[in-house]
This record gives sequence, structure tokens and C-alpha cells, in this order.
Amino acid sequence: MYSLYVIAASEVKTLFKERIFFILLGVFIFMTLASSFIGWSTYTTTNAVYGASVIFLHQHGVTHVPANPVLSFPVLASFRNIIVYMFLIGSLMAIVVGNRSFMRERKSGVLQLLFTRPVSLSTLLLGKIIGICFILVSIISLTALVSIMSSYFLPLQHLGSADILRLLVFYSYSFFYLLFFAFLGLLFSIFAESESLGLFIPVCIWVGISFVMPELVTGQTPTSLLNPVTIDQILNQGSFFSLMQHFLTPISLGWHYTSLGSQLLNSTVDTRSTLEILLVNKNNIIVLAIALISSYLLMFTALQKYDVQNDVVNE
Amino acid sequence: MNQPIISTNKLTKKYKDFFALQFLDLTVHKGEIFGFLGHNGAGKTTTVSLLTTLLQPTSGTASVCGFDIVKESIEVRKRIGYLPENVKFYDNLTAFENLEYLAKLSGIHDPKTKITEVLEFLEFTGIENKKLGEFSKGMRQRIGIAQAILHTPEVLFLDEPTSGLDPLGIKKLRETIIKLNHEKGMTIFMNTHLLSEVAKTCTTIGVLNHGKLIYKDSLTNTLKKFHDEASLEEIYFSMEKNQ
Repeated sequence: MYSLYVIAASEVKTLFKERIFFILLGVFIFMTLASSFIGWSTYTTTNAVYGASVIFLHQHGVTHVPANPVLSFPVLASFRNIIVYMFLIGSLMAIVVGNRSFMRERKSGVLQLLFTRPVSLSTLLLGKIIGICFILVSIISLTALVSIMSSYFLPLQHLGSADILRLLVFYSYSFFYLLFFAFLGLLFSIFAESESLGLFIPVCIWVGISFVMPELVTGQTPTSLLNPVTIDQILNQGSFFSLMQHFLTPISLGWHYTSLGSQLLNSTVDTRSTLEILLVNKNNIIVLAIALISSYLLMFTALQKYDVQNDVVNE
Repeated sequence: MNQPIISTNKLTKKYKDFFALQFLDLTVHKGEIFGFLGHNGAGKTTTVSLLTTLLQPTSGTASVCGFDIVKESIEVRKRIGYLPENVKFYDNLTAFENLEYLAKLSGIHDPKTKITEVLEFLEFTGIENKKLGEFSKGMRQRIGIAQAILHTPEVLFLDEPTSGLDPLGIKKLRETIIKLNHEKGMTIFMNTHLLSEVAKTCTTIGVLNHGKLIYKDSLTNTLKKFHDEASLEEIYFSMEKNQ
């Protein structure tokens, strides 16, 4: 236990000394703030237009005016842009976090000293993963805090306990989604021959998961990728896309993420409870769990085969 | 002195068709300063890597402090210290931070006291808060020794410890090795090229040639066997030539 704590603490300490991490973190937090601002702006603009319209209608003798549309607008929808930021920038940042975790030590050559300490490979790997988890949880918590705090600036509507629960479930799901990308970064940093290749391969997989697969799965409505609205029906598509959809939908992690994320954040009016949404999407969660377990096992195997004595890392 | 602390039985490491180490049978006794000689690529580093559990043998067995290097690698690691050739650290951390991390990984719960004690033993104080990136080769080597002895190991493995050091650095290192052996009772296993250092430091020598052990005896016996007038250098070259 003590070794796990030591490795995890060192992981956090050394990562917080790296510039690349702070750049990505800054971009991510900025995007979260921007997302909150856009959501707030949409609300206030709609509310202001409604207010002005009501005054105008009263001045012209109209007494019966429709209800304020802001009131029927799901409050969590103001955060829906976070899905995209998490999906694109968050996962990229997670790859960097995972990559730096092992590549830093390979490059510095310090692994020879670490591997002769009385620490097993599984402890070393688990310690690193705990450190990575702590970093991801910190980032996500900060994002969640910004979201929740910003909701208090919304006119007329505030987050209720059910909304906060949904938001927390969304961020928890996001954590596991980002963790998978951190695992990818870590996995390839163990056996890639060069530093650039160690980053390039997981980024290619990220492109596949984030763009190519959802594109194939959503067929003729590819813009749905960046517009996280639940698609109940895919319109009139060819046999190729039907086939792709049939095979790729179960394993399309990115599509699952945006789909479940948009359901949780109530992008459309959704009367289901959080539990109901999770149960309907249980397969998505199972696929993510399988991906996480598989990548952990691959990491452990790669670490067992890692030859510390003959390792040379190119730039 | 007669208790074996390192013992190998037909220890072999093979990379595809190349034998880095062939059927090594070697015994090193407690309290010895063992000098492991051999040309570049003879298999010295491979031997140390196997004994320090960094590599897994292709065949054969070995034990360090009575523990099997494969089946009981964690127990072996608790009892050894290792200084690799060209030791590397986290250059963006200070000497203290580097040593603290490695000490904690060795299971030391009060690293500060231990680090101070070790640095005082090595007469290397006042550098704790400097970043390793600012250290010279000699200074890094001394921090390397410090990290290797933090947990007071029974056996200290040194891989080409004098590599890249100036004459003063070599002298200091030699004094440190002898001090560790005499005062702390550590058994030292040292890979080296420098025959003069072996003559001044080691109690026993072994010679490795193309992955095979071709000679092992005490330094005193070696000098007697090969006539007192012969230098260790001449003895070494005659051994290699006869192979």
C-alpha cells in the first residue's frame, strides 16, 4: 500500500511540473468556461427577447402571451457543449497524461533504478494508474465545479438535485471514458520505439474512435457527431452504412459517449430517470468496461515484456 | 567470509541465436569485493542485469542472499543495491527529491534521516536542494552510490562505476567502495574494465570471455599463480589469448 501511495504521489508531482500538461489543462478549462458562458448567453438572450416581446405585445393590446420558452428548456442543456470538449480535448489530454507517465521515465533512464526496488510490476502499474486517476478526477471535478457554479447565473432556472445527480453521473462516465484514453497513452508509451510514435499511435486510435467510427455508425448524418442530439432514426441510408452500423455500433466508444452524454444532459426533453437512462445504455457501459480491462491487461503484458536493459528511446 | 551470497548454476541468457551469457557457474562469498572482468560485450552487464532481476534468464538458476532471482525477485531486490553504468535520474528534481522517492520505494518510512546519514557517510552534503540536471558526472555517480545504499543492502552491484570519472573521482569512488565493504560489511560485485582498480580494490576476480567464465580466484592466489612479477594486465591478456 505504501509503495502504491509513493508511486501515485510521484506521478502527480512530476506531471504537475510539465508544461505540455498545463497548456492542455488551460485549454480544457477555458473551453469549459466558454461552454458555460455560451449556455448562459443562450438563456439570457432568449429570456431578454421574450421579455421585450411581452412588453411589445402588451403595448399593442395583446393580453394573452405564450409562456417563457426558457422555462421549457432543459437546464442541463446549457452544458451540452462539455460533451464535445470532453470528447475531443479531454480525451487528447488524457492520452498525453498516460503517455508522459511512462515515457518520462523511459527517456530519463531512471527505470533501471525503479525496477531494482522491491516493488512488483503490478504495484508499479497500479501506482501509476492511481496517479493518473487522481489527475483526471481533479480535472473533471474542476470542470464540474465550474459547470455547477455557472448554473447559478442562469435566469429563472437553477439546478435541482436530480439535475446535479445527472451531471455527476455524466462526469463519472466521462472519467472512465478519459481513463481509457489515458490507458492507450500509457500502453503505447511502454513499447513504442520512439517518443513521437508513442504519442502518434494512440492519437491515430483517438481519431478512429472520435471521428471515423462515429461517422460510419451515424451514416448519412455525420454532423450528429458534433451535435450531440440523440438520433432515434437514421434516415434512408445505403447498404454499406447499414453494414457498418451493424458491426461498429457495439464497439463505437465515441458514439456511445456522445449518445449517452446527450441523454444525461437532457439535450432534448427527456422524462426518463437517470437510472432508466443508464439501464437502457448498459451495453455502452459494458463495452467501455471491457475496453478498460483489456487495455489494462495489455499494459501489464507489455510491461512484463519490457526490456529495461536494452531500451533506447528515440525522439 | 565463506558463506556464498551469490550463486549461479548454468545461468544462460540468449537473444535469438546469440548467447549473451553461457552456462555461468559462479559463487561469490559474503564480504568479498568481487571484480568481474571482461572485454566489451563479454556479458558482464548481462550478468549483473540477471542478478539484479532486471532480466530473466533463458535457462539456469541463480540466487542472491539465498533467494531465487526469478521466483523471489522482490526478496532479492530488498537485499541489493545497484549502480548502473551511466546512472540516470529525474533531472528536473533535486538530489533530495530523487533520493526521497527511491528511498520510499525501498520501504524506508523516514527517508530524510536516512538520506542525511548516507550523504554524511559519503561526505557529500550540501547538495540536497540542487537539481540533478546541474550535477557533473562525478556528482551523479556519488548520488548513484547514495541511492544504491540507502536501504543498507547486503550486496552492492556496481556496473562500470569508474566509467567517465576523472582520476580524483576514481580515487574517491575506490575509497567509498572499500569503506562500504569494511564499515558496512557489504559484499561488492563490480563490473569493470580498469585492471588497476581491480588490483587496488578487489579481493576476488572473475574473468568473462564471450559469455563464458574462464577464470575465478582470489586476487592473492591469482598473482601467485601467474608469478608475482606479472602485472594483472599481463595475466588478463594471457587468459584471453589462451581461450
